[in-house]
Amino acid sequence: MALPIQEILTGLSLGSRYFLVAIGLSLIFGVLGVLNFAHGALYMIGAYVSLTVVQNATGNFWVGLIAAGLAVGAVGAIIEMGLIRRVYDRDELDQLILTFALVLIISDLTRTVWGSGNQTMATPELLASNVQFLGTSYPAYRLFVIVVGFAAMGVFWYAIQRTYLGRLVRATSSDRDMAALLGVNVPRLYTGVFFAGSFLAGIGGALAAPMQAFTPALGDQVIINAFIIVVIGGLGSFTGAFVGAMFIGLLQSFGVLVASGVGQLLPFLAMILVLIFRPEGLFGGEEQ
Amino acid sequence: MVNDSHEDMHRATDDRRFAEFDRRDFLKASGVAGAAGLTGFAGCMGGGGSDTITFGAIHLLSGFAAVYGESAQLGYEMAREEINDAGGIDGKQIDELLYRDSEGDGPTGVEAARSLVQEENVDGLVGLDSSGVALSVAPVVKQLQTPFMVTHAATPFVTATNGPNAVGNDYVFRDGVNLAQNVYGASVTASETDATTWTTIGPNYAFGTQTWDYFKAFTQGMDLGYEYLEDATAYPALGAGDFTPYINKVLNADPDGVITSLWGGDLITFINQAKNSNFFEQIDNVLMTVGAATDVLRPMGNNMPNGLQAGTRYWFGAPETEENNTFVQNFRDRNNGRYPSYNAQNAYTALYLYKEAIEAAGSTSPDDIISQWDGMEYGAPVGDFTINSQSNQAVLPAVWGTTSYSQEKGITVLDPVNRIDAPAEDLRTLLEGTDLPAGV
Repeated sequence: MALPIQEILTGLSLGSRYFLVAIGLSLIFGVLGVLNFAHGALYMIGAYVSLTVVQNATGNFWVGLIAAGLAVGAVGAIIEMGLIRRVYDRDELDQLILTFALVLIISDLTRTVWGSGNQTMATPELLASNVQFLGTSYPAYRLFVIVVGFAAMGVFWYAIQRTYLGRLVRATSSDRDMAALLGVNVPRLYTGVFFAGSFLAGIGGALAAPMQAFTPALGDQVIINAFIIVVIGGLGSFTGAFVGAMFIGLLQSFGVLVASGVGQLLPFLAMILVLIFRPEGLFGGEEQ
Repeated sequence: MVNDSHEDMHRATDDRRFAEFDRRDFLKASGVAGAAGLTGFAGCMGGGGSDTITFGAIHLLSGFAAVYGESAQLGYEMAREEINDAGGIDGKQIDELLYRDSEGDGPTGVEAARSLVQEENVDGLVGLDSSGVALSVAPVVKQLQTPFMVTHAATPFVTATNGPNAVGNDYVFRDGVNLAQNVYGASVTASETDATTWTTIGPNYAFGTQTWDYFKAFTQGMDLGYEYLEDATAYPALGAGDFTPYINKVLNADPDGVITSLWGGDLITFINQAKNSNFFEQIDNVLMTVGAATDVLRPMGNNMPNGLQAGTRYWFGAPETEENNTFVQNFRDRNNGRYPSYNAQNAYTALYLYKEAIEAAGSTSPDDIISQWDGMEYGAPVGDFTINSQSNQAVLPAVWGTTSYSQEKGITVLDPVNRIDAPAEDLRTLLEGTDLPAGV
């Protein structure tokens, strides 16, 4: 009994980490129409910013977490205003090459500043213990990550569906020119969306830092899963990103029980099936 | 993943044909220029004629394991400076090493080896961090007829000449402990425990599965009567980021002992996550085949659990010889007090092995170097060793010890540390009847 519960919790905590990356990737594509390869690199910066703030400056994990979100959000906004804005009207290939170049630049800058070695960070003391849970013991920090994932989903859903700003985002995403004619400041909105997506990636990276050793290649590992998730869920759909992320997390944790290595294989299989039978993704096309 | 190495080997075979073709073409072209011209050409090729000696190094220089390439560079640079300051090799200075990134990919490694030999005319090759790359490169250096001292990649198949999948040949040597020697040490260490049921958690490629295969073969050969829990074996992908599903699986099988071949950042991640799952309280015997790598211990700080059995291919605290102490002291002086990793020691030793061979032969010709290395005895920081002339593998003891955090050194150390002799004949005898080569 204990094993299935542990694998469910592990799957959800994996899913929550993936969600924080996938949502930004999906949001930026849905609104701006740009497939941002550099999103994994932004996640990676989040881990390093948090590490630096915690270890060298404040010693406080929570400050590091917020700082990582804000710093990465700012980097994202600068990238959008300085570079990506110039290629909105070019074809997708140009956008891909630009964002891919950013991956290489960001990774190498990170190596120059922090080195290639593995970095580790202690779990915040408040969450360092294990929680007794339905007859099993589970690390509190992972439960916290799950809570953050679900909370991010809730806040996003509310913001997009129920607020004025959310309506602006949806309007701009369905017709940029019309929204501009109606007085929406489209460039500023785009920068805001890029900031929000990057902010979440930064939070995701900061949350990952106490869970694993990381190097400047951290983003490479994450971006592949994020792409699988948005393909399965539907590019541009945040419900899809959430369901896809949790689905992949659970597949990876339960796949291990079927056979070694299967946990890595199943997400790709799922993606292939989705591409064949529902190429727009499970939730693609519903919200737009 | 075995299939992968097969594929790599097929590619390598193709590459070999190209290499052969290149070389023949080259010789034909030189032939046109006549005998005198040919000699001149050989001079340009970096053979006997030049005033300096050039080495090419192929390592992981990017990606999540780039730290291995970096620590090897620290070893090479230290050796190069020392040798040059002391007058060079036979009076010739060593040029700046030419580094190439293997990107952990067989064909990229092959391309690098070929470019270093054919375009840069290096006198010798060193490096290789990944066994997959080593399996691809080994057959090619034979065609390039250039000596290669492997410093890190540990697969026994690179220093084995007989049996299926063996790619060892006259030009490939290794100065570091190979996987068979290391896992032999693990088996001896296991035999001293009372654990009888075992399983493994390792990376999802040849290194992970071979570690388990060799462990089973050695412990069976030693008649330890172990039960191997195959259903509980766990092979997460490299850089998986979260090993908890695998940790849960192993814990659920409740083995007495677990051997893990996870390395680098994956091992750090695994240990931290295993601690959160109380893994080390529930599993009495954990053997980490490359757990005592300083690249792992340094970032771990005092978070490494005490009392685990950890192996390494070189330990800075052993042997306690003047040679080793001087090396460690000088290395730390150069690198902000950092302790040398096995990769740094192996890289450092590789250049000295070239110096030894070139000076003994009085020539930098490839055939002179490899015939000097054949059976050579050498005293390195890692200890005195002989290069076995059948396999071209350095016969080194496996280093295993118990982890214990040292306040004084600020890093987890091995205490006690055992240097377990791994004689070539013993390894071969234990593996008899299996299709696993000792590679020594």
